[in-house]
Amino acid sequence: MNPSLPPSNNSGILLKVLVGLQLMLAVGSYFFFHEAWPAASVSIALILALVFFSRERTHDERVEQLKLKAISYGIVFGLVVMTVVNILGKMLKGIASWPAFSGFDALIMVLLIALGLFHYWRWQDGRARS
Amino acid sequence: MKNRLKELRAAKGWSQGDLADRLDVSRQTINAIETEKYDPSLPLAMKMAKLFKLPVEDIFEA
Repeated sequence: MNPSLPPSNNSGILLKVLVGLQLMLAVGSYFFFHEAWPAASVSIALILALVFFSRERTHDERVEQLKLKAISYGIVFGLVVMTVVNILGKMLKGIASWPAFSGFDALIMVLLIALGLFHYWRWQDGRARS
Repeated sequence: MKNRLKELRAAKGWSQGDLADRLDVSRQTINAIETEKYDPSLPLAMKMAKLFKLPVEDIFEA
């Protein structure tokens, strides 16, 4: 897996700046546009992608293996969850108010699962220090 | 895959962090290898063999 940011000393600062800009864009679009969430979800998905695909402080082969495993699980479970939610929404149409979810919402779900799994496995790797 | 990494590291008096610095990986990665949660790549195994001045098969066994 090729990380999106170069392995320089400035990559951490660059990431923070990019995430900050995206966050400002997300908040701005949430308040500026009439349909707030669809506009903000694009920026949130980009922030999560930036965070997930950026380099770790020590970016070794185990990190790459765990990131690949996490995104594989994230895609499978995230898309299944979003599909089920969308089908439920269609079934309950007329009974309850249910928003339609976009591709960016699905991407947010996938990346949240992937980030959660990656950090959980990384935390498990660091446990039981001898 | 079983390995003698913990034993070899202890013989040298190194912590997991010391070994991680010498191999240019994270401490978590060393812990994952020692606890047999992760099998290292061939280049990393060769690096370990070189560091401990042992053949790879003396560190890892299938």
